[in-house]
Amino acid sequence: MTSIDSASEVQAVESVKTPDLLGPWALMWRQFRRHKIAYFSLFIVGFVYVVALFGEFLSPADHLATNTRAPFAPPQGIHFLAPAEDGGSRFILHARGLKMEIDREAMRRHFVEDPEKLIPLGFFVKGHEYKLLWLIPTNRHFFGPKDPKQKVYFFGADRLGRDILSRIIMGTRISMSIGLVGVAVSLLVGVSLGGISGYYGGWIDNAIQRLIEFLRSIPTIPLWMGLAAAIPLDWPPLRTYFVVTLIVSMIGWTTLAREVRGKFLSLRHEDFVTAARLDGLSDWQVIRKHLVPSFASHIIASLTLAVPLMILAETSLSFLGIGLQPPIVSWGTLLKEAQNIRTIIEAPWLLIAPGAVIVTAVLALNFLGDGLRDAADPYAN
Amino acid sequence: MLRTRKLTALASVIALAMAGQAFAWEEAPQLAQQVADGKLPPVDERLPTDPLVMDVIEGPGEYGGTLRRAILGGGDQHNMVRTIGSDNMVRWSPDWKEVRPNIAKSWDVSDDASKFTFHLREGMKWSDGAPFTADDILFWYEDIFSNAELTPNKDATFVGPAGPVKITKIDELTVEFDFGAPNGLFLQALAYGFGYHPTAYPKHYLSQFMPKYNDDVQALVDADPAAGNWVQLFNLKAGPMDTPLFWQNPDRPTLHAWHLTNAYGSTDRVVAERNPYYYKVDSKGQQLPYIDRITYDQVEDVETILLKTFNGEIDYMLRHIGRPSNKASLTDNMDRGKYGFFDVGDLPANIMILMMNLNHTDPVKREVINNKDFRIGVSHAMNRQEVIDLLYFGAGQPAQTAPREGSDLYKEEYAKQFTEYDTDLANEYLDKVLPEKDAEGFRIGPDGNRFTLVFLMADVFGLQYPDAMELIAGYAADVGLDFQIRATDRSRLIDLHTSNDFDAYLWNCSGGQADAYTSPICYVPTISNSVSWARGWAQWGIDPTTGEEPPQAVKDIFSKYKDVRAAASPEDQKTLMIELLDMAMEQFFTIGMVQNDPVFGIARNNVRNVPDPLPIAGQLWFPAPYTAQMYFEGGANLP
Amino acid sequence: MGSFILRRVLYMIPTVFLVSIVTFVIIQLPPGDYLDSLAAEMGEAGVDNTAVVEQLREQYGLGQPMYLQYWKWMTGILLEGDFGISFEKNVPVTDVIWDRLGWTFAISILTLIFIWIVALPIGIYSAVRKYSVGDYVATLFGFVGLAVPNFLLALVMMYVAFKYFGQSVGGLVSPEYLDQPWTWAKFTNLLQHIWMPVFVVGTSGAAALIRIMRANLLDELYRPYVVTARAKGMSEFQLLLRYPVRVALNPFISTIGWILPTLVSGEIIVAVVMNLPTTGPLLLRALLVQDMYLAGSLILIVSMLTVIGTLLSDVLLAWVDPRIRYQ
Repeated sequence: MTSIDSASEVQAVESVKTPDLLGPWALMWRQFRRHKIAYFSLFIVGFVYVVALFGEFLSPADHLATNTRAPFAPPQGIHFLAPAEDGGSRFILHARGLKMEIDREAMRRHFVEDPEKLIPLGFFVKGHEYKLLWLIPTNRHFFGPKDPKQKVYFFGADRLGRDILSRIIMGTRISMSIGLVGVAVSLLVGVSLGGISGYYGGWIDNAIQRLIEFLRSIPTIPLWMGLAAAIPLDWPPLRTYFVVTLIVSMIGWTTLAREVRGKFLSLRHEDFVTAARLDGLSDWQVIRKHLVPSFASHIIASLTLAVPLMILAETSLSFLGIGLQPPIVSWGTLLKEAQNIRTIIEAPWLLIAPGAVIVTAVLALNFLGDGLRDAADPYAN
Repeated sequence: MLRTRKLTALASVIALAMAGQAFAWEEAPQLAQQVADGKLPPVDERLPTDPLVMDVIEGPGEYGGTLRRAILGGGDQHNMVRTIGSDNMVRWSPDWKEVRPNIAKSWDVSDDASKFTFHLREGMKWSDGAPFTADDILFWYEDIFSNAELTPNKDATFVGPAGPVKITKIDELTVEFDFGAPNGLFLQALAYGFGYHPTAYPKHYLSQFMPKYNDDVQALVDADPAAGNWVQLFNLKAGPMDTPLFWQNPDRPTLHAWHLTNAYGSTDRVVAERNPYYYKVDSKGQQLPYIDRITYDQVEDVETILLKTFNGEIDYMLRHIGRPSNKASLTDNMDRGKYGFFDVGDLPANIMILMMNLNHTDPVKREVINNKDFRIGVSHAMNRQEVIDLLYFGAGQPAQTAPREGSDLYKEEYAKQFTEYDTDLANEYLDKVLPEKDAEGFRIGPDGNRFTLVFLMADVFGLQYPDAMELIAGYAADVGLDFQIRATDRSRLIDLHTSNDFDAYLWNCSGGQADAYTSPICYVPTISNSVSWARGWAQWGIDPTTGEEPPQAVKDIFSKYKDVRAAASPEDQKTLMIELLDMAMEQFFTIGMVQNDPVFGIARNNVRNVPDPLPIAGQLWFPAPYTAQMYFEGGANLP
Repeated sequence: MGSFILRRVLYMIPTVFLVSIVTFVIIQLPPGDYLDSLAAEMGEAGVDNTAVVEQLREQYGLGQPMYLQYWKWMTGILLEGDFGISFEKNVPVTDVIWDRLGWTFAISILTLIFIWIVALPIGIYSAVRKYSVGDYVATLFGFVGLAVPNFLLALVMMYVAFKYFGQSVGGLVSPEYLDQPWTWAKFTNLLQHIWMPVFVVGTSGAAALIRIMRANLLDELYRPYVVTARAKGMSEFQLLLRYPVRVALNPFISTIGWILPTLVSGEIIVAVVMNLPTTGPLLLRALLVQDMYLAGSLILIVSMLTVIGTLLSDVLLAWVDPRIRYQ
């Protein structure tokens, strides 16, 4: 009860400040900002996409470069103070070098931090060459060892001595774009089929509903496996990646179509729709000008919630060893590589780092979608 | 942990002398009870009059215990084949040096090695108590091997240079294998896995599924929902040992040390119980096997096998877990699981080979791949030591596909040619073949397009091929070669390479030791399910009207291998084989990467008579002939 | 009501028929066939046996065209209840799957109960106390449940159970109880194992349901009828349970429809990692080696059960909520 009261008070105060009429989007935005976690999640999601965009710049090392001196190297911390020659401490951003010891009998490598060996770190350092945003050739990297010959593994290294942080950063691009592209496909198919189904009703509706029911009753994994295995092997990795995305998006559109249909069903007999139709607008115009805007917010929310599903679906595909071809790296492939007892025992960071990133991203996207949904709900106070 | 094999030659001689006399054989308490209950005949009647006295590894053992293992839910029949199944007419010694008697008591070979006469043991019995005689071998030969419906393709073991073997029965206990031409490698081949055929088909049981012996076979066909005609029914009841079929029919009598009671595939646990009629004894006159039963718990994932091992739920295992990548975690849990390691000599000619298609259908790729300079260039571009350090913990040597150090056929230049990592040298060779490069620095083929090879790669053998392939593609890129990786499942890979629809792929190859004689698949073009690098030539080699005519040098290799097979004495075989290897190495067919060090298996601390090191190979299905002499110290599993 | 059910049942028939065709095509999409898989297995075992592969080609009728194989399979099912032969196990499919389907059902039902027990109270709480600390905690739990890939959770839980509780891992009973008749001891041993898969599979389902429950309840809580009832002086608790919760319960009924396909398909990976005797690993294996009648039959049966489950939940929904009936 109290929450309702205080909320309406807030609203009252604010509406005094802005007497102008707010459009539906502005209202939604205001509502959204009050959902603190969702608002915060927006920034996380934004950050993740920035990482995806500027992956090469942000990654301290080449994510494909192997190193015989560092297989299963543990994460290295960033240190600020180093002993100075006069016995005190001096401020220098650095990491400590690792010494590798090999136990041949047990076939294990031990790494010991060497406090003597300083690896100075810095911003905008030189490293491997790449093209920023696929255009500008450069070799500057946001953060890393000042000497390009030195190697530092902030999140540890994998079994081939590759930098996990860089691999996660480069995987972000693939995983997040799979989410986006998949959602775009779902949106296209889901909204058009759902819209048609809900707007026209009758036998078309029936046919589409049966199609959805049919697709949903086939277990997804066999469907994926069948389709993924049918991808010709001589296709380049990029095309394979695109097809994998399409396959993954097959799960998304049915849900969306159902929601859109529901909305259409409930809206099509509303007065304003009837009025528009009497005004002589064509079906398409009615849909575009009146129906779609009235539930766009809901769609955005559903889409946001669909992105994490796609990311997780790609993880499952990678686990089954179908889909993405090396050297393409995604969060799913990283997790798959770490999905074994050996890793849990010897190099847990290989599991923890990508796992944490996936959970964070999926969490943020879910909170964001949740907040959007709440904000778009006219009944919510 | 190393247990050395004690030479028990003297003991065997004494035991043999004793075996001739009336001897009080001993049996497992479990069986003695059944004899007392009248369910089994006494042990003297169950054993042949002259049982095989096994030369046990450490010493005579004690009865009891269950050998617990794990098996994957599907496709893991070799788990049983290699622990129980391989127990043939003759067997290899535990060190894979010589062929010894097994089911056959002894044999005679004609001077030209074309006729082999085997003497069987009198009074030997199948696992259901029915007698095993020359008739069973003849049954296999006449009714199965020679029946085109049941055997459309004859197993290579029983096909000599002059065609399939002819078997005749001399008397109840003597059979003669006649190849019509010298076939000097036959005894070796018979001792390997596929030599199982003549002694795996009990006539008294299997003849009921043939119209020749049973007029009413159709009734049996109708009763079995999985069979549509008698041939299908027969295959179900008498399937080949290396398919699941063999292990799905527990009714089929065998000569193995344990016989199945729970079939493979439909239950949570495969169980094999002691065969009370097994024909081997130890020097104390105790009937083998010592261990009561073997169980295979069905699991779905290799990770589960590892955890079970840590937990002490596995008694003896090398399959699935004996890989360098597992060594550290297995070492950590040794005390908890109460197990130790033994060495496994799984030493093929090479564990990682770039098989490039010398008979490629695309003329451009074919021309380049067939250029030896190209292959030499690729070979020099490979940083083999880095692969070994990263993937196998340094447990291996850079090497080509060649006989291993320690084998009779080893020559250093075979193994080491072109293995030096030298990108300048690689570029020098490659510049002779593909001098032009495109804007991105990749070499251009003779047709003006970037020269790309698509490598098929499946994650097989637990050898981290996916990682290896990424490294290899990286090395290739360093010298301007575009190697594309296509990860796939193994059956699709096999499908593609057997239909000659591939550029190149990554696989391993047998022939590193004595099996180079019988399985020279990387030295002589051969039709094979696993290895293809010149399928057209291989077809021509079998039938010159088909396939593709090879160059003279390859034709010479074919005829040299015919000579090897025809040679009667081991000395001649070796001389000719080395000549063949000289020719094959000169051709440099495949690019080898790594020859591995021995791998390992685990045995719980009270398992004794464990062969260490244990040699295994694609054809050598060990430890099967020697599982029967393993035992649990204390007669029971460790808690 | 009667015509509603009848109509739905009639709709089922073409759906199931279509599923059977598509299933059959999908499982044959990957190139190669069972014998290629067998040859591959032999190849990996280092054994080269081209002779055997040829010998068995006739055995399984693999040379026939696809429509003929489908026709044979379908007529077998419809006329004799014969789902065909499993190539790898060489027994009729029906001999292999019932046991596994039983376990799948058992775990499904337990998971369903787990999901309901967890999701109902948390969902209600989180809607009534919107944006409270409790809501945030519940939301967080829910989303973490959604966000952690199931197979990851499965492996980590197995390792923890092994490392810190010394439990035998994998499967539903310890090795010493395998092959043993059912006893009290075996049953308690089962209980010690079965909670893990139920938990792993259930978390994501529960998380989703919490979210749905919360959203639906929020929709209802501010409806005019609730305000009216409240104005009339109805106690808050009684009010809550009598109206909004009843309406918001609909998604719970819907879970009946999707729990089975989720378990069979979505949790294949979990079942493989945890070594469960359910249909999942069987199906995955069958798909991998192209044991086509086994794979096809499993998918067909699961799809059919899904359709029936959806029907069941729809009928229940229509019964609980009369508004739905007339849509």
